[in-house]
Amino acid sequence: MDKTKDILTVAPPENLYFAVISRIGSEKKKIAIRSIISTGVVILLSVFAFVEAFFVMLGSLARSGFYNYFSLIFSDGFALASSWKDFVFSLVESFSFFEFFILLSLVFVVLVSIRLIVKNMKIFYATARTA
Amino acid sequence: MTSQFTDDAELMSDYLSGNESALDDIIKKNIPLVYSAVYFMVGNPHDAEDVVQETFLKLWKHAKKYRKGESFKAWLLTIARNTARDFLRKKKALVFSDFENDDGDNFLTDTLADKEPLADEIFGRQENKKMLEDVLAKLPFAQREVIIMRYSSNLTFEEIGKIVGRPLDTVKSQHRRALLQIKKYLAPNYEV
Repeated sequence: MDKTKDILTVAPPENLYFAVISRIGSEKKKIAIRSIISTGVVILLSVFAFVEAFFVMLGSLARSGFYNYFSLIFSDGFALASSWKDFVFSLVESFSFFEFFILLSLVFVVLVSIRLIVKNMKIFYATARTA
Repeated sequence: MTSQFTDDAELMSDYLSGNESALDDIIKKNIPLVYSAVYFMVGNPHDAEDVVQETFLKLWKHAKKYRKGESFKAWLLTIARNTARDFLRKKKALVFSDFENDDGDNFLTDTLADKEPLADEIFGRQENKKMLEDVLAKLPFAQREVIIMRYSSNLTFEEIGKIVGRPLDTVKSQHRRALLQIKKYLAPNYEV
Protein backbone atom coordinates (compact mmCIF):
# COMPACT_ATOMS: atom_id res chain seq x y z
CA MET A 1 0.00 0.00 0.00
CA ASP A 2 3.02 2.34 0.40
CA LYS A 3 3.54 2.59 -3.34
CA THR A 4 -0.15 3.43 -3.78
CA LYS A 5 0.10 6.07 -1.05
CA ASP A 6 3.18 7.56 -2.73
CA ILE A 7 1.34 7.81 -6.03
CA LEU A 8 -1.72 9.34 -4.40
CA THR A 9 0.27 11.92 -2.45
CA VAL A 10 0.87 15.39 -3.82
CA ALA A 11 3.08 17.90 -2.04
CA PRO A 12 1.27 21.19 -1.33
CA PRO A 13 2.71 24.42 -2.74
CA GLU A 14 5.14 26.09 -0.32
CA ASN A 15 3.08 29.26 0.04
CA LEU A 16 -0.17 27.43 0.84
CA TYR A 17 0.37 27.57 4.61
CA PHE A 18 0.80 31.36 4.47
CA ALA A 19 -2.20 31.66 2.16
CA VAL A 20 -4.35 29.75 4.68
CA ILE A 21 -3.08 31.83 7.62
CA SER A 22 -3.67 35.06 5.76
CA ARG A 23 -7.17 33.95 4.67
CA ILE A 24 -8.08 33.22 8.29
CA GLY A 25 -6.48 36.56 9.27
CA SER A 26 -8.54 38.53 6.79
CA GLU A 27 -11.71 36.74 7.95
CA LYS A 28 -10.84 37.61 11.57
CA LYS A 29 -10.30 41.22 10.47
CA LYS A 30 -13.66 41.32 8.68
CA ILE A 31 -15.46 39.90 11.72
CA ALA A 32 -13.61 42.35 14.01
CA ILE A 33 -14.62 45.34 11.83
CA ARG A 34 -18.26 44.20 11.74
CA SER A 35 -18.22 43.73 15.50
CA ILE A 36 -16.57 47.13 16.14
CA ILE A 37 -19.20 48.87 14.01
CA SER A 38 -22.18 47.08 15.57
CA THR A 39 -20.81 47.52 19.11
CA GLY A 40 -20.17 51.20 18.38
CA VAL A 41 -23.81 51.61 17.37
CA VAL A 42 -24.89 49.82 20.57
CA ILE A 43 -22.72 52.18 22.68
CA LEU A 44 -24.10 55.24 20.92
CA LEU A 45 -27.70 54.12 21.40
CA SER A 46 -27.01 53.17 25.02
CA VAL A 47 -25.53 56.61 25.77
CA PHE A 48 -28.59 58.32 24.27
CA ALA A 49 -30.86 55.98 26.23
CA PHE A 50 -28.83 56.66 29.39
CA VAL A 51 -29.20 60.43 29.08
CA GLU A 52 -32.95 60.04 28.42
CA ALA A 53 -33.38 57.58 31.31
CA PHE A 54 -31.36 59.86 33.61
CA PHE A 55 -33.74 62.78 33.05
CA VAL A 56 -36.77 60.52 33.40
CA MET A 57 -35.36 59.35 36.73
CA LEU A 58 -34.73 62.92 37.93
CA GLY A 59 -38.35 63.81 37.06
CA SER A 60 -39.64 60.72 38.80
CA LEU A 61 -37.63 61.48 41.96
CA ALA A 62 -38.97 65.03 41.98
CA ARG A 63 -42.56 63.84 41.62
CA SER A 64 -42.28 61.24 44.36
CA GLY A 65 -40.89 63.75 46.87
CA PHE A 66 -37.56 61.96 47.22
CA TYR A 67 -35.60 65.25 47.21
CA ASN A 68 -37.71 66.62 50.05
CA TYR A 69 -37.07 63.58 52.22
CA PHE A 70 -33.42 63.56 51.25
CA SER A 71 -32.92 67.24 52.11
CA LEU A 72 -33.94 66.46 55.71
CA ILE A 73 -30.47 64.95 56.19
CA PHE A 74 -29.00 68.44 56.01
CA SER A 75 -31.63 70.16 58.22
CA ASP A 76 -32.67 68.35 61.41
CA GLY A 77 -30.22 65.61 62.35
CA PHE A 78 -31.69 64.94 65.84
CA ALA A 79 -35.25 64.51 64.57
CA LEU A 80 -33.95 62.10 61.96
CA ALA A 81 -32.00 60.08 64.50
CA SER A 82 -35.10 59.63 66.64
CA SER A 83 -37.28 58.41 63.75
CA TRP A 84 -34.64 57.02 61.41
CA LYS A 85 -36.77 53.95 60.55
CA ASP A 86 -39.59 56.12 59.18
CA PHE A 87 -37.06 58.28 57.38
CA VAL A 88 -35.40 55.30 55.65
CA PHE A 89 -38.79 53.85 54.76
CA SER A 90 -39.88 57.16 53.16
CA LEU A 91 -36.63 57.40 51.18
CA VAL A 92 -36.99 53.82 49.92
CA GLU A 93 -40.65 54.33 49.08
CA SER A 94 -40.01 57.50 47.09
CA PHE A 95 -36.94 56.19 45.27
CA SER A 96 -37.42 55.29 41.55
CA PHE A 97 -36.03 51.76 41.55
CA PHE A 98 -37.30 50.87 38.11
CA GLU A 99 -35.60 53.88 36.44
CA PHE A 100 -32.46 53.24 38.50
CA PHE A 101 -32.40 49.62 37.32
CA ILE A 102 -32.71 50.80 33.70
CA LEU A 103 -29.80 53.20 34.23
CA LEU A 104 -27.63 50.48 35.76
CA SER A 105 -28.47 48.11 32.89
CA LEU A 106 -27.44 50.74 30.37
CA VAL A 107 -24.16 51.33 32.19
CA PHE A 108 -23.57 47.57 32.15
CA VAL A 109 -24.29 47.40 28.40
CA VAL A 110 -21.86 50.26 27.72
CA LEU A 111 -19.11 48.69 29.83
CA VAL A 112 -19.51 45.27 28.15
CA SER A 113 -19.55 46.94 24.73
CA ILE A 114 -16.38 48.90 25.49
CA ARG A 115 -14.70 45.67 26.55
CA LEU A 116 -15.81 44.02 23.30
CA ILE A 117 -14.57 46.93 21.21
CA VAL A 118 -11.16 46.84 22.89
CA LYS A 119 -10.94 43.08 22.28
CA ASN A 120 -11.88 43.50 18.60
CA MET A 121 -9.48 46.43 18.17
CA LYS A 122 -6.70 44.16 19.44
CA ILE A 123 -7.72 41.44 16.94
CA PHE A 124 -7.94 44.03 14.16
CA TYR A 125 -4.46 45.42 14.81
CA ALA A 126 -2.95 41.96 15.32
CA THR A 127 -4.35 40.71 11.99
CA ALA A 128 -3.39 43.97 10.25
CA ARG A 129 0.21 43.41 11.37
CA THR A 130 0.34 39.77 10.18
CA ALA A 131 -1.57 40.38 6.91
CA MET B 1 6.35 25.75 21.13
CA THR B 2 4.55 22.51 20.43
CA SER B 3 6.33 19.37 19.39
CA GLN B 4 5.99 18.18 15.83
CA PHE B 5 4.59 14.93 17.18
CA THR B 6 1.96 16.44 19.44
CA ASP B 7 -1.38 14.79 18.89
CA ASP B 8 -3.82 16.81 16.80
CA ALA B 9 -6.60 16.31 19.34
CA GLU B 10 -4.31 17.78 22.03
CA LEU B 11 -3.50 20.71 19.79
CA MET B 12 -7.21 21.27 19.27
CA SER B 13 -7.92 21.35 23.00
CA ASP B 14 -4.92 23.69 23.39
CA TYR B 15 -6.43 25.97 20.79
CA LEU B 16 -9.87 25.80 22.34
CA SER B 17 -8.41 26.73 25.71
CA GLY B 18 -7.02 29.91 24.20
CA ASN B 19 -3.62 29.03 22.75
CA GLU B 20 -3.90 30.70 19.33
CA SER B 21 -0.58 29.35 18.06
CA ALA B 22 -1.89 25.77 18.37
CA LEU B 23 -4.09 26.47 15.33
CA ASP B 24 -1.00 27.39 13.28
CA ASP B 25 0.56 24.07 14.27
CA ILE B 26 -2.59 22.17 13.33
CA ILE B 27 -2.69 23.86 9.92
CA LYS B 28 1.03 23.37 9.26
CA LYS B 29 0.82 19.71 10.23
CA ASN B 30 -2.31 18.84 8.26
CA ILE B 31 -1.89 20.81 5.04
CA PRO B 32 -0.18 17.91 3.19
CA LEU B 33 -2.96 15.46 4.19
CA VAL B 34 -5.78 17.80 3.17
CA TYR B 35 -4.06 19.01 0.01
CA SER B 36 -3.44 15.49 -1.31
CA ALA B 37 -7.03 14.43 -0.66
CA VAL B 38 -8.54 17.59 -2.11
CA TYR B 39 -6.18 17.64 -5.10
CA PHE B 40 -7.52 14.34 -6.38
CA MET B 41 -11.11 15.25 -5.52
CA VAL B 42 -11.17 18.51 -7.50
CA GLY B 43 -8.58 17.52 -10.09
CA ASN B 44 -6.34 20.56 -10.38
CA PRO B 45 -3.84 22.41 -8.16
CA HIS B 46 -5.43 25.85 -8.40
CA ASP B 47 -8.88 24.68 -7.27
CA ALA B 48 -7.24 22.43 -4.66
CA GLU B 49 -5.55 25.48 -3.09
CA ASP B 50 -8.88 27.32 -2.88
CA VAL B 51 -10.61 24.32 -1.32
CA VAL B 52 -7.76 23.81 1.20
CA GLN B 53 -8.01 27.46 2.27
CA GLU B 54 -11.78 27.16 2.61
CA THR B 55 -11.38 23.91 4.57
CA PHE B 56 -9.07 25.45 7.17
CA LEU B 57 -11.25 28.54 7.34
CA LYS B 58 -14.18 26.27 8.23
CA LEU B 59 -11.99 24.43 10.75
CA TRP B 60 -11.25 27.77 12.43
CA LYS B 61 -14.90 28.84 12.37
CA HIS B 62 -16.28 25.54 13.64
CA ALA B 63 -13.41 24.52 15.96
CA LYS B 64 -15.80 24.47 18.92
CA LYS B 65 -17.84 21.73 17.25
CA TYR B 66 -14.90 19.30 17.47
CA ARG B 67 -15.66 16.69 20.13
CA LYS B 68 -12.74 15.52 22.23
CA GLY B 69 -12.19 11.81 21.64
CA GLU B 70 -13.34 11.68 18.04
CA SER B 71 -10.75 11.16 15.29
CA PHE B 72 -9.37 14.55 14.34
CA LYS B 73 -8.19 13.27 10.97
CA ALA B 74 -11.68 11.98 10.11
CA TRP B 75 -13.27 15.24 11.33
CA LEU B 76 -10.91 17.36 9.25
CA LEU B 77 -11.35 15.19 6.16
CA THR B 78 -15.13 15.41 6.56
CA ILE B 79 -14.83 19.20 6.33
CA ALA B 80 -12.44 18.90 3.37
CA ARG B 81 -14.67 16.42 1.57
CA ASN B 82 -17.82 18.51 2.04
CA THR B 83 -15.99 21.65 0.95
CA ALA B 84 -14.66 19.92 -2.18
CA ARG B 85 -18.11 18.54 -2.95
CA ASP B 86 -19.74 21.98 -2.55
CA PHE B 87 -17.01 23.50 -4.71
CA LEU B 88 -17.56 20.98 -7.50
CA ARG B 89 -21.30 21.39 -7.22
CA LYS B 90 -20.96 25.17 -7.63
CA LYS B 91 -18.69 24.60 -10.61
CA LYS B 92 -21.21 22.04 -11.82
CA ALA B 93 -18.34 19.63 -12.15
CA LEU B 94 -20.04 16.78 -10.33
CA VAL B 95 -20.82 14.72 -13.37
CA PHE B 96 -22.47 11.35 -12.99
CA SER B 97 -22.82 8.77 -15.71
CA ASP B 98 -26.23 7.69 -16.97
CA PHE B 99 -25.95 4.49 -15.00
CA GLU B 100 -25.07 6.08 -11.69
CA ASN B 101 -26.95 7.69 -8.90
CA ASP B 102 -25.65 10.52 -6.67
CA ASP B 103 -23.65 8.07 -4.58
CA GLY B 104 -21.88 6.64 -7.58
CA ASP B 105 -23.78 3.37 -7.39
CA ASN B 106 -23.82 1.75 -10.78
CA PHE B 107 -26.18 -1.13 -11.33
CA LEU B 108 -24.13 -2.45 -14.24
CA THR B 109 -20.85 -2.79 -12.38
CA ASP B 110 -22.69 -4.07 -9.33
CA THR B 111 -23.37 -7.23 -11.28
CA LEU B 112 -19.76 -7.77 -12.29
CA ALA B 113 -18.36 -10.99 -10.96
CA ASP B 114 -14.72 -9.88 -11.23
CA LYS B 115 -12.45 -10.60 -8.34
CA GLU B 116 -11.45 -7.44 -6.46
CA PRO B 117 -8.06 -6.35 -7.74
CA LEU B 118 -5.35 -5.26 -5.29
CA ALA B 119 -4.63 -1.54 -5.27
CA ASP B 120 -0.88 -2.09 -5.37
CA GLU B 121 -1.30 -4.30 -8.41
CA ILE B 122 -2.97 -1.42 -10.20
CA PHE B 123 -1.20 1.63 -8.83
CA GLY B 124 2.15 -0.06 -8.35
CA ARG B 125 2.71 -0.38 -12.06
CA GLN B 126 1.91 3.22 -12.81
CA GLU B 127 4.99 5.24 -13.61
CA ASN B 128 2.93 8.00 -15.16
CA LYS B 129 1.28 9.93 -12.35
CA LYS B 130 -0.53 12.23 -14.75
CA MET B 131 -2.24 9.30 -16.45
CA LEU B 132 -3.43 8.04 -13.08
CA GLU B 133 -4.77 11.49 -12.21
CA ASP B 134 -6.74 11.47 -15.48
CA VAL B 135 -8.14 8.04 -14.70
CA LEU B 136 -9.16 9.11 -11.17
CA ALA B 137 -10.84 12.18 -12.62
CA LYS B 138 -13.00 9.92 -14.77
CA LEU B 139 -14.38 8.11 -11.72
CA PRO B 140 -17.64 9.30 -10.15
CA PHE B 141 -16.97 11.53 -7.15
CA ALA B 142 -18.32 8.97 -4.68
CA GLN B 143 -15.87 6.30 -5.87
CA ARG B 144 -12.98 8.73 -6.26
CA GLU B 145 -13.29 9.98 -2.68
CA VAL B 146 -13.31 6.43 -1.32
CA ILE B 147 -10.08 5.59 -3.19
CA ILE B 148 -8.39 8.84 -2.09
CA MET B 149 -9.36 8.47 1.56
CA ARG B 150 -8.38 4.82 1.60
CA TYR B 151 -4.96 5.13 -0.05
CA SER B 152 -3.93 8.76 0.23
CA SER B 153 -5.30 9.50 3.70
CA ASN B 154 -4.85 5.93 5.02
CA LEU B 155 -8.33 5.69 6.52
CA THR B 156 -10.20 2.50 7.33
CA PHE B 157 -13.47 1.68 5.55
CA GLU B 158 -15.34 2.37 8.79
CA GLU B 159 -13.80 5.86 9.03
CA ILE B 160 -14.56 6.53 5.36
CA GLY B 161 -18.15 5.41 5.90
CA LYS B 162 -18.53 7.92 8.74
CA ILE B 163 -17.02 10.74 6.70
CA VAL B 164 -19.10 10.22 3.58
CA GLY B 165 -22.21 9.18 5.52
CA ARG B 166 -22.70 5.85 3.79
CA PRO B 167 -22.93 2.31 5.20
CA LEU B 168 -19.79 0.20 5.42
CA ASP B 169 -20.94 -2.26 2.75
CA THR B 170 -21.66 0.55 0.30
CA VAL B 171 -18.19 2.01 0.87
CA LYS B 172 -16.58 -1.39 0.34
CA SER B 173 -18.51 -2.02 -2.84
CA GLN B 174 -17.69 1.47 -4.12
CA HIS B 175 -14.04 0.78 -3.40
CA ARG B 176 -14.23 -2.48 -5.32
CA ARG B 177 -16.03 -0.89 -8.24
CA ALA B 178 -13.54 1.98 -8.35
CA LEU B 179 -10.60 -0.41 -8.54
CA LEU B 180 -12.32 -2.36 -11.31
CA GLN B 181 -13.00 0.85 -13.22
CA ILE B 182 -9.40 1.99 -12.86
CA LYS B 183 -8.20 -1.40 -14.01
CA LYS B 184 -10.52 -1.16 -17.01
CA TYR B 185 -9.36 2.35 -17.92
CA LEU B 186 -5.72 1.37 -17.67
CA ALA B 187 -6.11 -1.91 -19.52
CA PRO B 188 -5.27 -0.54 -23.01
CA ASN B 189 -1.98 0.83 -21.71
CA TYR B 190 -0.91 -1.90 -19.34
CA GLU B 191 -1.52 -5.57 -18.91
CA VAL B 192 -2.98 -5.39 -15.42
